[in-house]
Amino acid sequence: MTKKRNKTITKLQAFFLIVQTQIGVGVLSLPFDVHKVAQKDGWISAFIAGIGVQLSIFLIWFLNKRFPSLHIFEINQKVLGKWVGSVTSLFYLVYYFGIFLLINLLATRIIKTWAFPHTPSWVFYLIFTFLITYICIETLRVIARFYVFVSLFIVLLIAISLTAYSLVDFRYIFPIGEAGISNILKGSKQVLLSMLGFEFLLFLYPFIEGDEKSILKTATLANVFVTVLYVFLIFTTLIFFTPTELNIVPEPLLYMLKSFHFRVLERYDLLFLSIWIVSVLTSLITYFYLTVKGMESFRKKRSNIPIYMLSILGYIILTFFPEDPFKLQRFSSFLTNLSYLFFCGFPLLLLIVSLLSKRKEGEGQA
Amino acid sequence: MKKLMLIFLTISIVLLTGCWDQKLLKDARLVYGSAFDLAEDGRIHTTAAIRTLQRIGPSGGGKPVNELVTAEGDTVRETRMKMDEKVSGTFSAEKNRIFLLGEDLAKQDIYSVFDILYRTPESNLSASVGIVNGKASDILKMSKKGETLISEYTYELIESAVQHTTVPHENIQSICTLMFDPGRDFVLPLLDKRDNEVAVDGVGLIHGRKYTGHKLSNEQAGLFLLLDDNYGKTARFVKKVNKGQKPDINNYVTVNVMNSKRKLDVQAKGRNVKVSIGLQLNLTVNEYPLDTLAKKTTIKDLDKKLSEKFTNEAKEVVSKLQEANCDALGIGRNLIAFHNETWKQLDWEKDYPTITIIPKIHVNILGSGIIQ
Repeated sequence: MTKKRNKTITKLQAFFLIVQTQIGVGVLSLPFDVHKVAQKDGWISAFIAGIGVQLSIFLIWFLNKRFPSLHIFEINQKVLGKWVGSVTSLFYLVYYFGIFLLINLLATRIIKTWAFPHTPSWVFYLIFTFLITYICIETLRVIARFYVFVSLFIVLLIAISLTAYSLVDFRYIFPIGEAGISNILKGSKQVLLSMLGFEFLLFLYPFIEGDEKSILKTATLANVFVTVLYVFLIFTTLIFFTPTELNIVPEPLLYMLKSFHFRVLERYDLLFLSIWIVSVLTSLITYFYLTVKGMESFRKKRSNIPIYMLSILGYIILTFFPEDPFKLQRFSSFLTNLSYLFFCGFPLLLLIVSLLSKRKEGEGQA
Repeated sequence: MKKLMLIFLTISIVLLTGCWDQKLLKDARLVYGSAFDLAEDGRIHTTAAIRTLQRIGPSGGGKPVNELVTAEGDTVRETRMKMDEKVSGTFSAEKNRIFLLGEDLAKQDIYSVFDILYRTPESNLSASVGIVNGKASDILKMSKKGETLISEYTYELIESAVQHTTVPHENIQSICTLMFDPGRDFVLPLLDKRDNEVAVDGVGLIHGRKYTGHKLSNEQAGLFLLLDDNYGKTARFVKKVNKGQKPDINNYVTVNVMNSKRKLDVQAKGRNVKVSIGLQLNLTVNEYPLDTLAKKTTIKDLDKKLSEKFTNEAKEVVSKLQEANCDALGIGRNLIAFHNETWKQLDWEKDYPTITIIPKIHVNILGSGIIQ
């Protein structure tokens, strides 16, 4: 039943696939969301969230190690049997598609408020949908190469944020730990949601070159990188804004850049926005790709028609989604709360079931 | 597939031009400077300097002139809407370099005037801010100073004052974050119009979101900035160090601050706060007609005299700050950060003017130009 799979992507590509999926729409509002809960200790929350993600990576790794050439949709069927497994796969698929829609909605909202107030939303959805469909009909290796290439932008993202350091006051983060442990932990929940994307490993595992240890190392490095980046970004905004001002600025990273100008350049926020949109696009591609792969796991024959149909379906849902920001928020918190199930709950369940039933790859089918 | 690609590309071209949000420069009336004043019964009076080109001769080309538009309304946005009705094209304030506030309006609330700037994404948060003695519109009404348009002139005036360590480097965003800070206040450049001249008249002390009406002179402001560790590019001071020399000019020395080192030490015990500010100034002498700087003893003597003078003036600056209840040195922020227990016990609004702040300035003359 299990066919030998070609290990098609290098470790470096895997690293950027995970990193680019993680960095996405959440990064702009991340400092604001964290600050709401953890106050000036938001940067500690980011560290704790990084540890949380690492635990989850261990869990995913343990699961995938037992099935080194299978990805999540196949593991579902292998461990839980055909019917239950298919239902679980369907859950995953719907969840990935939901996240895909959510990122679309959030990103478009930010672009509209910051740069294009008069352009109707359907234009952005159309552009996104076109681009994503275009790249998702390619193989994983092509996507990986694209991700590595656009990762140059991350360097630029950091460089632009560095300009803020001409106007900072380090005293804003003192006294450290004032928010209290429970608030810091609650804040780390907020950061964790911006770190979503590492669960891509569930699918990616069988495609990465190298042995199990080096795969774990790659995923860990990706996590460390994103954690450090988030700590840096949160820290920068915390020392730039007075705590009371940060309460009313939902996209502090962009807002901060608005106040700088050099000889030739003004409005760094717009520059930042155009770079950020690439990071958003990579997250969108990942989730759409995962949805597509989920669908393919139900069919034996490979064809592009379902991909087109899926993107049209997505587009229709997006254009009919109400523009009410509170409905969007409800949708967002519903999905993000649900996500624990998918990066922690199901993997844990699968691992336990496979341990109990001593099911491993290569052994008989259920 | 190729055909599909072609259709896709054609559609993309249409979409990517962004026709919905294009703003054509030819339709925009660019505002370069705005002045806000308090009109009667609390309304807001806005004056905007719009830059246009005046045609000279039939062959095109032109020289830039200011067109002034004014409007009165209940909010800043309302005045903008009214001004938009008065100008051809779209009133666009994206390139606004300078915002001037009339004294009376600044005494009310600075934040509420600027809220419109903080809220709209297209506004320019790196613009400079100044408070004007009297009416702010009076400055814009000059339209031109020499050959320079008044909006550019005022902006450059403040910029050069920043470099000379007379006023701090603040913009719309940097004061916003300070207005929200319970532990820190700030100062803004004061502009003054006398006859046909505009000059920087020191800084106005802000407390919370309001201008207190207290001010520091140019010289005091320079010293304050040094105490705040906020050195521009140069800082010069003229001090009287001798008595009875003839002619009078021989009594003075002009010094240039090469670099400065500040140490802010905040000690708190219970509700007692004691602040000492140590400032080390390394100077070169710019002007000293007595020409006695060859001897080491003279220099030491001058060092001592200047240290004393500077220290006394610094004390005056500090007492002025406390009198205005303007914590521009950020001592409250220091307490929040490092003496949080004390901060919680204090009522900073009431207690700040009563704490002890001791400035001590030590002067070191390190050079005397190319003669001694």
